[in-house]
Amino acid sequence: MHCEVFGLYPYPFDYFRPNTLEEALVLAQGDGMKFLAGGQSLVPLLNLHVAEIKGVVDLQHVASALKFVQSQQDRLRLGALWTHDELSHSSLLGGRCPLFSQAAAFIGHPRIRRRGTLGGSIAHADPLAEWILVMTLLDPQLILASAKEERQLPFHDYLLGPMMTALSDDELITAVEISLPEKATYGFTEVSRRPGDYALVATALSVGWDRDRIAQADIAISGVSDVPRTFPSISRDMCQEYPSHGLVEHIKHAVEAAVDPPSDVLAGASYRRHLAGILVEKALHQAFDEMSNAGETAAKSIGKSEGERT
Amino acid sequence: MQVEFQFNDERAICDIAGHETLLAVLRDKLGAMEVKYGCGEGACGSCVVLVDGNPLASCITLCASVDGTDIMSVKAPDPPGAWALLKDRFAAHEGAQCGFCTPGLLASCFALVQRGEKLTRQEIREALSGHLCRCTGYHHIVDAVEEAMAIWPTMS
Amino acid sequence: MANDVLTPQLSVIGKGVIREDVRKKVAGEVLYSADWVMPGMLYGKLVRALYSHAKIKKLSSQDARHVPGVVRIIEAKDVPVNQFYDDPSGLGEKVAQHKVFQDDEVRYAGEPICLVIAKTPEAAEKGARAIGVEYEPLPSIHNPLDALKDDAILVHPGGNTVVQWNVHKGNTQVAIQDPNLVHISRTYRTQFVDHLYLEPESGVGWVDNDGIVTLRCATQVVEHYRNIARMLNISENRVRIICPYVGGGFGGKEDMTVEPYLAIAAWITKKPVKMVWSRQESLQARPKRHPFVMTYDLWAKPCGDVVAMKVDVTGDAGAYALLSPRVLFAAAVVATGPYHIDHVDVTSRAVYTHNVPTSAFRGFGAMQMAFGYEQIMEEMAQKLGIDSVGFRRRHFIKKGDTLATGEIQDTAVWLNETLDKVLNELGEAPVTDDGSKRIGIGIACTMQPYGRTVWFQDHASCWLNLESDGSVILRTGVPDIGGGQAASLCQIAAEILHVPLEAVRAYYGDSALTPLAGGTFATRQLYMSGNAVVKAAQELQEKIDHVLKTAWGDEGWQWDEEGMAYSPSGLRISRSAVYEAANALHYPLSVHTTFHAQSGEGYDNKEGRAVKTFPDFTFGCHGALVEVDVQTGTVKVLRYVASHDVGVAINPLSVEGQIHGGVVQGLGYALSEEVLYQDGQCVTALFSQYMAPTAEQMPDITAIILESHEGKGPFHARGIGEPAIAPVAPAIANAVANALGPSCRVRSLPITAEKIWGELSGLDGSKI
Repeated sequence: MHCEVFGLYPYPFDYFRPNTLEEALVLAQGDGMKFLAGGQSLVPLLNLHVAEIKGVVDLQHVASALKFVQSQQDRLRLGALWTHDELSHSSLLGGRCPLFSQAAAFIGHPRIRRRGTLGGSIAHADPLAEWILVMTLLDPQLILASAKEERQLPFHDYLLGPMMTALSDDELITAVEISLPEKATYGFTEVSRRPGDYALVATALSVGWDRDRIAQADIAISGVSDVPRTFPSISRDMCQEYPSHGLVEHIKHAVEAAVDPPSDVLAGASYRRHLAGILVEKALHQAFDEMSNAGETAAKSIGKSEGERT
Repeated sequence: MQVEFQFNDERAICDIAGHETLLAVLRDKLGAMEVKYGCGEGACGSCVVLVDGNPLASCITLCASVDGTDIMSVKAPDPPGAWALLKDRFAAHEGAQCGFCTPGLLASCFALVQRGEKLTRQEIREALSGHLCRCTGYHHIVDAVEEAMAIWPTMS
Repeated sequence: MANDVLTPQLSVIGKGVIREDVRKKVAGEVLYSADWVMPGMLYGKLVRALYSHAKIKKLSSQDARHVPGVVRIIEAKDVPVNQFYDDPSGLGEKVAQHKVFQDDEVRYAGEPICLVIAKTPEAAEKGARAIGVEYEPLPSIHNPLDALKDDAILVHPGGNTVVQWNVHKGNTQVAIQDPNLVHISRTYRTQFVDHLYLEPESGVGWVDNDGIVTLRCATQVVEHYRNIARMLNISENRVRIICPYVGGGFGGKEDMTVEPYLAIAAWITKKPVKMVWSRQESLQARPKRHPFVMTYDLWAKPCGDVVAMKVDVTGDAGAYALLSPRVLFAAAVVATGPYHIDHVDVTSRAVYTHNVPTSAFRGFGAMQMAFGYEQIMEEMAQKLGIDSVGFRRRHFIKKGDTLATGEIQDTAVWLNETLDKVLNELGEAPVTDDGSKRIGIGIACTMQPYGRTVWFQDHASCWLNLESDGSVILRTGVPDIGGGQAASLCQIAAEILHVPLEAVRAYYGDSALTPLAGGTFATRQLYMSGNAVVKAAQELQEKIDHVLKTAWGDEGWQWDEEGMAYSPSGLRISRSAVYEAANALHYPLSVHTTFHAQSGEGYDNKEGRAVKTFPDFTFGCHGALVEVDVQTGTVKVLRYVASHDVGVAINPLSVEGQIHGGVVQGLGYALSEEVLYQDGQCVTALFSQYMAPTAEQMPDITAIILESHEGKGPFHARGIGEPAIAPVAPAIANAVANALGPSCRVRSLPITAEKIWGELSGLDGSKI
């Protein structure tokens, strides 16, 4: 039996820094190659000798090409190499889908936020990572590029398990494309053992509105199963409802009843279940409050223009 | 492969292999022993240096990736005096005890001070949350940074 | 007598002077142990056991030998004496400690098996991975209470109890017969924690020109050269340990870490060898703080008079004794806390398990007990329906009192004074209008020994010279681990010799060239080496005075701020002139001296009594204001106040730094830190998995330093390194309990959000 030896520095591998995306994809066809984005997850694994590779394809010269926002009526296409820090500024998305900035604020510490990327986190697929939860909720199309082809894969087909994905070794996530309801508000909350650490349990949810009535809703929770999960039937209960204390209570209890969390060294099943309920409650309040704030702002501006008219 | 970068205002040309981390090269090839190995996970902050002005954990930065950059440690020449100011305030407030985390911590503080940031004590604490110090309890560190931030605008 | 030097006007002592080592450290100019480089240096990597209990059937190093760059594999058979022995209790019982390399029965996961030496660190790691070890796994035992049972698996053939200490005072059996007494019994538990100093275990070893095995490494004890000599079966005068500035110790570098491996590698290869332990192997396999299970029984009269206390303590020693006997002794001595109780029975024991060994860590057994005694006092006050602050005050020990061990407390006890300061500063708990938040306030009053137990006959030496330019050289074997150990000694020498602080230079931490001062542990260095420097400086000053009088006459000499002697008649004499005069008189201005601590008889464990245990204690009080989120159980520390009587603050800035650092390390202990093991396997071996506090969630800390002028250190100072951590966990526990309301209390550490939620939900949070 061979021994567990934690290293200080990585074992030898090659390094490539292509200037174009095309070059990068060609390089990635080589055996044992890994894309290097921010390196916040990959390099620690290499240092510790948990992962062994033949070479890295550093994306730093490609990064600017993969930092874009394409905003259409019902869709938002986001380049994969935005950093957590960049995504934490809500202005990046022109105020659309503030969930990104809400979630980014919970990631790591300033150094990690400035370096780590959306695509890197999705590729690493740590089930407790904030972006994996957000992706589970929004279920975007991932744009995956290789030297041979570009394909689209819905996130729910992409994530196969904890740190397991349908990404081929030579494929790069270049963008995520999200369908957005016309009018939606969001909630994101988590409890972690220390600020910036992976959550014990985290909740992300979206509420689509038809005036002040809920048109559709989605809820996703991490830390209650091996990968984040959604709650389609509970979410459906919210449709056509008006926000109310009773509704929040109903959803909270339904979620508590629906989850079957694991017990591990970090937290027991009952506490995780309890957190799932509390965090859904808090996230719902965030989404509802955002709606009513928006409503008030709208009402004020209407009032003002009416005032001007008279 | 060969990489070239500025390190503390001197040109460094190093023959390296792709897997070598910036930490390994700075220490083993350039003798920059002020850059410390503390965890290898990018988590403790002892290995932080400034790469083009941004604090990076050198233990999880591949050296090949910093080709063409300008890198600074706490030993960088310092005409504007921001390093000197920080060092002086850290010494005056005893913001270091064992001193092992200090050079990395100062690199992050340098970036904050140079940006002309004026932060509250809690904001300073958040900005430094990627650095672990086990001796000082942080209080004296925050004292030093707060004061350096107040003084810096009068110097620059 | 060393202590009678308190002068009305001190020029350096008591000033928050800037430490020279700190100036060097902030400039990045200090070369720590891992920063040392030598020509032709090799690198070592340990192979560690995968199982917590197994027989090693076969070790195959064939593959490893063929890894390019691998120079040598060192195994048990290569070590002249592969086993360490010592007398950890100091009472004359020789105990077999760990082996250098385990070659037979592995007793914890991570136990060193062999060492790979290679030309690069990468090759050493590859070589280590290529070592094949064939194990026969054996059943293991991980709960110390199970290990005490009759049919328990034996970790060592002599039985699983490492040591058992007893303290008896009065007659508990008779005293508790009174049926009117109120009795409560509670069990408190603490966890494994790691020192997590930022500098990993590291060093370089080589054989020097004279054949001396030399180690330059991070250690708290340069006297380990003796253990190394025994291991190599060579004379003690052929091993030298040099200790540069250490990047944090906290007790974790008190036992040997890299020392034996550097020594055997250099000895066998005859080349310089460097070894740096990875953070992950350090977290996984290096000794931790003892988890304690403490059961307190307390009897009191309904009026609020405590009558009797029984304490039963079990500490998990892990697989080897290391310093467990001493840790559990400190626990027994302070088990009743700073309270005067007439009838006391304490039993404390260390128990072997197949867990990672536990040993020294700031607070050394005494701090765990504070989590017990400061909660049982609070819980009894609650049970009696009386104010817990008043209840404490009523029972505080006073100067002249007999402690539970039978010894007399012979210095000032400023418990009321520190408590007053804390309560005053803390103020009233604010009211919150957020229904999901509750505010709680809690205090803890503690005692913590400083210095070694008296039967160790502790002593520390130093050597002090006046140089020809008037500067002063201080040579002392003190390892400086970051607390300003060397800097304080310079301050003391400068004060007594009337020289500017800059004129004193300390050479420190070299077992061959600086007089041995004992290790930097047990909060002993200021007390021991401080007194040694006082003694040496006084003797040197007497010599200087003698030279002055002999050469220039008895003029009633005084000293000015620049360190010049002047007389009422108008003479001004520089120190270099004094040096020259001394030279002409053939009268060397050089003093080598030794300070001997108060010594005494060994502890009478049968009777549970002592004339004296530790030289003295440091007392203090901490108070915390916390906010608990009742929905999630999370805790936020809003305000923290810490006050200690330090006798005299040699450097108040450093004292404050020790208090701040102790508080934050204590807050991590109280709220988040835990090294988790499953069946002896570490599951939190990553730095990022170990929840040590970052700046973000820590509060500002108000440190209030009081000076009773009654310590036993130099200028009547008391030690503060360890005392600063003891009150934190119970203060937080009491504050959280106060926030949660009656009948809710988390009695196990760390006080996690989950446990708090468990208490609020009517589950037993301590058992979560």
